[in-house]
Amino acid sequence: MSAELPVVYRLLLRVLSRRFRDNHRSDIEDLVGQMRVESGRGRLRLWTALVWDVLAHAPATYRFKRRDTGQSTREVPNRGVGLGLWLDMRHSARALRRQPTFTLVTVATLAIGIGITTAMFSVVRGVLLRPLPYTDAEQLANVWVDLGTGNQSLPAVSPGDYRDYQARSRAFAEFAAASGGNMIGVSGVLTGTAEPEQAVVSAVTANFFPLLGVTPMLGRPFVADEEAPNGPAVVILSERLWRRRYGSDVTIVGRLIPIDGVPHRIVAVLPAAFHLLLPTEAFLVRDADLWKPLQIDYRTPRPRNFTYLTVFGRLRPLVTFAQAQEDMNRIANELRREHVELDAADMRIRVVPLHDDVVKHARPGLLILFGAVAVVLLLSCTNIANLLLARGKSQQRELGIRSALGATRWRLMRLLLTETLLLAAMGGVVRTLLARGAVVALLFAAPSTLPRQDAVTIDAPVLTFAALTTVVAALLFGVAPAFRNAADDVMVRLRGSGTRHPFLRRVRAGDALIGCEVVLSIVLVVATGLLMRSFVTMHAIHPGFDSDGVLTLRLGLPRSQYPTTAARSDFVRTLAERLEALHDVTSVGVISQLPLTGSGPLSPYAYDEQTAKNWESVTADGRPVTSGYFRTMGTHLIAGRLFDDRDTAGGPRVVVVDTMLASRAWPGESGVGKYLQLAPARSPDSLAEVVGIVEHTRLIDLRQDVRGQIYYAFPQSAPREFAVVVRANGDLGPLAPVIRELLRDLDPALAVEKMQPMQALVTAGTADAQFTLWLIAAFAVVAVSLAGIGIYGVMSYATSRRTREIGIRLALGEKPSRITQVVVTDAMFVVVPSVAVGLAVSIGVGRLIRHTLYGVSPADGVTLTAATAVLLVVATIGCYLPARRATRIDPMRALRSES
Amino acid sequence: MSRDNDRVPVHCFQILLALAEKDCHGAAIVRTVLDQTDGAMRLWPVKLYASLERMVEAGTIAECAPPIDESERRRYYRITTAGRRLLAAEADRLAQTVQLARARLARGRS
Repeated sequence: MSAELPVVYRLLLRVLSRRFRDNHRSDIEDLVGQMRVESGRGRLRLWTALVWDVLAHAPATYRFKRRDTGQSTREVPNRGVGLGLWLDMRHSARALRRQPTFTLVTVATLAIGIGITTAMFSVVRGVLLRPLPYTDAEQLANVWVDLGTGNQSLPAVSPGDYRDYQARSRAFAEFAAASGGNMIGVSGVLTGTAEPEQAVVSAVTANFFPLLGVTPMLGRPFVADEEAPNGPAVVILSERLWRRRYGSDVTIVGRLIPIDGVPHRIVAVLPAAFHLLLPTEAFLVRDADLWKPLQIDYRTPRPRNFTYLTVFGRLRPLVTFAQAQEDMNRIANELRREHVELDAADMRIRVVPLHDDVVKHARPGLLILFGAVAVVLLLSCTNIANLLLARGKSQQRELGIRSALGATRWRLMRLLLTETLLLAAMGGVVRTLLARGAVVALLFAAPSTLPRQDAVTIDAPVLTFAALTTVVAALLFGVAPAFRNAADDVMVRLRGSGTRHPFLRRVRAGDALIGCEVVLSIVLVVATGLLMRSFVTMHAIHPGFDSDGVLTLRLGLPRSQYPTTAARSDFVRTLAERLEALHDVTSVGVISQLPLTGSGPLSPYAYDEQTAKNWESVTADGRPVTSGYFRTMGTHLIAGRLFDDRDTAGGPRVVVVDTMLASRAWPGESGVGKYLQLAPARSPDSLAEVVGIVEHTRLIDLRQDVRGQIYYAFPQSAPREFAVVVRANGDLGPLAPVIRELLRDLDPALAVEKMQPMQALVTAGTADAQFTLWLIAAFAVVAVSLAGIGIYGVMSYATSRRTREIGIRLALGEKPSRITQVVVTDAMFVVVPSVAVGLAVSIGVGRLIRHTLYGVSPADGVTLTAATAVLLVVATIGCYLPARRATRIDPMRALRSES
Repeated sequence: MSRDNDRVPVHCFQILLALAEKDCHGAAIVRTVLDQTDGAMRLWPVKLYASLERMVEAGTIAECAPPIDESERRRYYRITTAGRRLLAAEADRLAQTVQLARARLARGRS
């Protein structure tokens, strides 16, 4: 009969006296089991009734008759305090049940305030606070190299430097390096039985995975021998690829698979949980599906400013990051003395904790949101304080009787506190449910650029945080009214509602609450306004291209089939011709890397004696493009010409530069026909003629101009991996399969990667700003509503206290409109100064978030005016409604009313 | 509870009534009370056993051995002589109240 009872109910039974439990447990279990079977009621109703049954009758179970004396006595739980608390709890529970509206509003306010805070905290904790998912992640550092006094600052190191770090560092236990597949000549085209596929390839040193503390799920990490130049063709697969393409075959280790047509032996599969977390600036290495050993040939020395390795280091135990930085400064000094190119570029090394590096872009936005949420929480608490305060007033008579009957002040306080905590507990339960929902919603809305989303969960620390917030909020806002009430004189309490208030005497605590609410909510409204204006400004700016109607895709040409620049350039020409022949396609272009897909390789350049001597003191984004690229992207030509048929592989070297570079190199001049030096040693080969100047394109960040740009003629430097842009009339959707078909026709071994509209990249580029904006706007709406409700509550209470006087005034013939006007004006004496304070605070807050703003000042007049208007309107409505209601009552009833 | 001039709480009255016919265990009492009140009174577990305990203390009911054919380990209760007296007295009191009510209603109507 007795089906297993739910844990919660069994735990709840523990509040009953031990003797009672021991005697009746099995009977109760039977009975409940039977009720569950029989009960025609809904399950919720059944359990509500059962829980109530336990709570309501618990005190009775502590009473029993002593068999020896026959006297009725009590079993004393927890040294006497317990029963008192029990009685308080019961009293509070009953009191709250009698006022369902009050209870509901309080619990809902508390739950919303703390629920949103909990959800936001779990995101902040997951992204910013939790350690990275690697062994002893707090010891991991990313090495940045600054060249040309800040002109280039990237997490990129040359192989020579990397080897020197390993040999010379005292602070680091170990360094490991990684780079992109293209740096080792692997583009990652998977062929074989299944459809050809372009996989992401990264190359890592043998100690890379051990350094992170990652053990392969199957197989073994790379060994040192595999790092040798021209070493064995081996590969490690990601779990994703292994599951998707190889059907989770556990016997896969040791098998050969063709990559770019070359057989590779699989030595391992990585665990599913492994993600390579990188700062967005790490441009070559990516979280890949194919991992190859990084085979560096140190025998042919390369210039030290040829930096293409991402280098992670693990600190020795007990070494701090400051010590590690000092150590690397010493090495940087030595390296500058030894290598002239590093000296010329004034090379500096920076040690950045990997965690900070990964989350640094998400931090400001999340902290702003967290601040916004804190404001919402404060507003909820203010409203609750307001409700409790008003309620406290109405309870005065009861408390007066209790204290007249001998209740101590502590006893009364305890009663009030119990009530508050009970409310908090109820709010807590609802809040937990709400928070779970909110986290799911937050992650759904979060941009993909938000790192570490998988680390966001509601777990023990988050729940502890929530519980603490609830208790602190409840105590803070329950204790204050309780103190206030306890401090009153017994006689005053007994008179209770009989106290007279002169007209126009405001409730001081109410004033303070209104003030707080106005200040808090105006801050959020202003922040929202500023972010909204930034967002609009950001979108209104022409980024140097027109993304509408442009479809993009990425292609990688295997080295084996397209070994030379000429072969690749021929392929691209044929491809462009075939694509342009398609219906609806108006133009086609090719670029090595699309705008808004992260940093790409940098091109150092020189335009005069000074810059030639300090090589690498200036750098630009270098991108090989076809002549069709500018036309397709809608990038305007400012002077000179675009690339054309004259610019062949064998012809004179030519480049197109952007206005930013041109105005830096040749201020006041056209720049067309000038020469740029593109290699450190001055030779005829290193010079390129500037044939055209185009407008600056925001390649990396829509929000700012980063660097100048140099565009190379595609036939003169065709890369193996590139992106194709296609401008078409009409819908881009139907075009995609046609293009895929065409490519298969051209070369069946080619794999198309990431076919998407350019607009998607633009949207992704502003997604984080949009995310912050929408959330903060939502919080602002909640905040303003809470403030409105709060003001309404305070004013309702204040006017209800004046019912009698309003009645007298009405009876004496005062116009209702006049009374309304007086009440509203009265409230405005508090609201208007609060708005002023709020605006001042907002400007301060605006300064704090100015790095997230774009093209708008923290003291933006439009925003401040609009926010003031919103708040004044809300406050006026909040005052007007209770005032009008007060004037609608029958004067006779008002006169008879006690207050 | 059973002090002479105390009224008997309704649920105790119903429990006594349920036990008046035959000895019962808790679940049977709940079912009988539900039947005899036309489903209006459902005794929830803690309330039931807390009441039963206090009635045992008061001597109006007593625990008894389960019937022989009952193999389960449930507690059975039976009504005591004192309990029967109390039940009868309460029934009389209720009957008087009903009589009074009827008489007044009849007078009010005429």
